[in-house]
Amino acid sequence: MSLQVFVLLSVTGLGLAGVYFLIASGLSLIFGLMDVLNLAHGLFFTVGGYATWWVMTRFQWIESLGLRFLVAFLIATVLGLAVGWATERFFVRRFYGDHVTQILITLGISLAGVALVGGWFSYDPQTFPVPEFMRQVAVIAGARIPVSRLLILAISVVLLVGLLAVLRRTRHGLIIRAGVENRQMVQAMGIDVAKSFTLVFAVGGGLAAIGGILGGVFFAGVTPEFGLNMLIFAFIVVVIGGLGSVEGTALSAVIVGLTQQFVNFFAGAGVGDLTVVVLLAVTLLLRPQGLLGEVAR
Amino acid sequence: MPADHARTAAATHGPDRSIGGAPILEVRDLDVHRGEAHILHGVSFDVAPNRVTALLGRNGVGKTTTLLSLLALLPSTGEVVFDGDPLSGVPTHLRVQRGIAYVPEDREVFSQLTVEENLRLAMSWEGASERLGLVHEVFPELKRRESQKAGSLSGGQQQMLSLGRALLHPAKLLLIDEPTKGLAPIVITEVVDALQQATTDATVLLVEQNLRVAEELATDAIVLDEGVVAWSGTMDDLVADDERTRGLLGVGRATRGGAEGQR
Repeated sequence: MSLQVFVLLSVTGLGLAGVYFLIASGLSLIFGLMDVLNLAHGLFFTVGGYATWWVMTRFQWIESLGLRFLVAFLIATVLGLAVGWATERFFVRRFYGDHVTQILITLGISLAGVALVGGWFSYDPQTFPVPEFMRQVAVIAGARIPVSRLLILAISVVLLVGLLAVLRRTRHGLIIRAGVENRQMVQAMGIDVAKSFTLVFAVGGGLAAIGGILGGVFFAGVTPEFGLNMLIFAFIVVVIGGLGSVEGTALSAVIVGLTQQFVNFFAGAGVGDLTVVVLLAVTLLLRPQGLLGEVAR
Repeated sequence: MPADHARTAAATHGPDRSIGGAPILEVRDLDVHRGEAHILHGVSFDVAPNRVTALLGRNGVGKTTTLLSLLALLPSTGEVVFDGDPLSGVPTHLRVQRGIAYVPEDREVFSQLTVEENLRLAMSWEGASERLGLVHEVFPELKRRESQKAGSLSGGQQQMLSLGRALLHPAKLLLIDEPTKGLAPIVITEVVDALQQATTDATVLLVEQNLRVAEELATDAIVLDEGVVAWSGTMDDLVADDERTRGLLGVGRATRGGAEGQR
């Protein structure tokens, strides 16, 4: 393998890892803190992608594509936060502790979301223009790397660092980390953990929506099933990384993203996806709590 | 034993109790199921202020269940009045905010957080900064190991952290569940000494399997048997009658050096 191919596959794999991380980190925190398997999480991703497509194709009065993309980014993120908040506030909150109902409700939201987006905007893939600078290529070690991939990677790293800073340095972060470990004990210290539930859902929604924006750029378009398809890999990333661990999710996203890219390139398209499932099985056999997860109490 | 007996026993407790004033906690007909098992069958007792009350009984009799239901960590029926206010329908975090602090069985420190972070979670209480100084005085080890992850502490150190965390709370009632469980005899001595220091003038409901520890810390005792209060009175009265103690707890004064009474 030439160095150029190695660099290109690595950067592409890491870009994909960034998208996985953004959707999986919220999923992991939601499951770790609230024991909620949020099957609606893919919808937050789709919302981000479609909001970007909508703004990029309809807001033509903003002539600069760069500025338009910035506006799209902000609107998509806010929409993701709002949909995440609303999902917890109006649906999930009533059913804490009731796993079957949670799964049915969030699956219902997820499928309804696909139908709603498909019915409204059609089931065809939608593409959107991206700013000129994203279409350029950078030459790294002889490899021609699309700038968009580097941008995806940079935004993901910034958000990872930001998320870790919030978790480590703020009181909300402290409560979330403690709650992931032992929710009952947090309540027994006089802290209303339910407030953190809403916050985590909203932030998870915002992060997944940013994942959707970047996913739309990475895959050069969006479809109504976009989020649902990503959700499968996001779950794999969460389980391999360890439920509730943001660091584990980041590490696992990198492993899954790189594995998929390299194996797909060398062994043929589709084999990478299969390899990831095998990785999941091996992790569950050898380290069921995930790479950086805690053994369940 | 019927609830009436317990109520009478608590009411006729002697001069000390009347000095303490009205009970801080009144529990009436507490009934708890855990899954299929019916654990508490109408438990009634009072806890007097500024005294340490030991909740005793054989293994599996429902002592921890009692504490968990007082905190609404388990669903229960019956009436609990704390500091004059009924707690029915009040969720866990609000019960704690009203003045009940909790030291759980098995410590339950947040193992992934540092010692300092574990304590910081409890620092939102009024006056917590001053009390942190006292906690560091009673448990200097916690200051020394501030940046260490709680999961890497020894059992005794984790117990100190769990106690320290609860002592930051300006609590009117401290629920402490088996503070010496699983600790080496020398560590038990250390924890008991610290508890004696920390609980002076505090109101404590203490679950303790080790009768000698309970005797050292508590002035009052409530004994549970088969899901009801079987006996209540002063600790001195309880241990004065060796046969009764043996009947209620399975250990007597003479045999306390054994498995149940190690110290």
